[in-house]
Amino acid sequence: MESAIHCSNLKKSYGSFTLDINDLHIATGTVHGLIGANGCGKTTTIKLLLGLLFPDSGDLSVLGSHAIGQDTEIRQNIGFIVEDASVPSLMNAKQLSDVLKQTYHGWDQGRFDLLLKQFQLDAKKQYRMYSRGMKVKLQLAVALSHQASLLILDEPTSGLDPLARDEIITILSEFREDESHTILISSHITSDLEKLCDYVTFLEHGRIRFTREKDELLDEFRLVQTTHQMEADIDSDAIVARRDGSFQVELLMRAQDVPSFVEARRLNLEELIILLSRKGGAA
Amino acid sequence: MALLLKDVFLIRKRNLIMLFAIAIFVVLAGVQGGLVNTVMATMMPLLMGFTTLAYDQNDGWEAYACALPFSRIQIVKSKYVLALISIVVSILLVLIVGLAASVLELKTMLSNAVTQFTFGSLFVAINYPLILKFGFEKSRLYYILVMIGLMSIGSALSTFQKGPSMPVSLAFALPVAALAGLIASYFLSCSIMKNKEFSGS
Repeated sequence: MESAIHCSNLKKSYGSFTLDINDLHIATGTVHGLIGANGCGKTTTIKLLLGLLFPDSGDLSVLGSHAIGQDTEIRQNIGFIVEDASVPSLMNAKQLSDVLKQTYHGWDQGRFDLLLKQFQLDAKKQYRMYSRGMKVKLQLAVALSHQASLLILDEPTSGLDPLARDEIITILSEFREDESHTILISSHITSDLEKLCDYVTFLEHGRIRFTREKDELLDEFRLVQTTHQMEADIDSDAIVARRDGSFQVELLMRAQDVPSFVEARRLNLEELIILLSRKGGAA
Repeated sequence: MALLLKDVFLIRKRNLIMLFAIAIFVVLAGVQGGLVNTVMATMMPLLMGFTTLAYDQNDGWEAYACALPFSRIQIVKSKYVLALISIVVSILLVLIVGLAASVLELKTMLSNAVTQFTFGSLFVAINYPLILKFGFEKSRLYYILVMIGLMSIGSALSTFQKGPSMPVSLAFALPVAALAGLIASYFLSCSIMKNKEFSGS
């Protein structure tokens, strides 16, 4: 599959933190989630992809460009939301669109106005007067109004109420219907990513633990809840991760390894990531 | 153009008091002349441009603009263009008021225009790279020191001046030197901006 984003041997250090990505490939037409705890390198990765940080070494390509920091033409095709970068607080949406229509070749004023209406955003209200959710929605409206083929979104649903999060997920789901559209979205709210993503990459301490197709990953594992006595009958090599409780134990196992004498259930992405984090091994 | 338009929107927002102060200094510079009035007639509009830099950095617009389809050179250029427009407009306004009032000699008015251009250009030339490099908040002290330093130099020069207007050699040398400083500053700012990273908090 064609790559919308490709990183190889990418390194970036500052302070005591080092991001070290051996290989990250995000295929065109997919939704790819970056998962990980705070400080694991999600925002650093996204800032590198937007040219806001420069790699110490390695190669990255975004929509075919290997120098995204200098490539203004390629940036015409990228919509983004990123931490610490925002629109001027004293401007309103109307003024912002006046600026952006002179910035983006493909600016679609009708689409922008429609999104403002859909998001119930007052175009004449200053950005600083918006709530956190409204600010994200305005930035998303910008990202979706210039015919971008790639969205790079850093924690777009963080700090939002469930209703606003659902609204944003719905809009992004509509965007992905076009097969030429790609989304890279980072979040520590794994339930949002579970609804949206085709692939997930799990980052931990600046390194990729794994990149997997989401459904395949969820199909692969089962959660077994059993007693400590019954656990003795289970092959210990088949246990991928465990969580001990007072009366029972939760075991993460591959579906094919689950013995018939115990009950097992499918996990959601959040449960799986938490258990895999405890284990420390690759999925 | 888009970046200049953004700055115009910001300047328009909350600068009525500033506009009033500019009007006062422009009238005083045009009618009375004098180093302080003349310099302030240019500094005040420049300060309005400087506030857009402060807003840009506080709001995260500087990083946002770098991810938009603008080159970093365009971002720097827009700030210098805005500063030059501010200087030229302030010179023209003082000249217009001076000609209308007909109190000062033409030679004095031209001498004041040279002072405006020189001080304005040097103020921008020294401060913009500092603000880009260290941020508006950290540069605040330098920024005040530069203003005081320039005023002191101007004041010292004016004491050697015999009449109300400056010698012809100085009238040519000062703007040329200031322009050279401005050009050097622009390239320095471009270099700072090209290497700037936005790692955030």
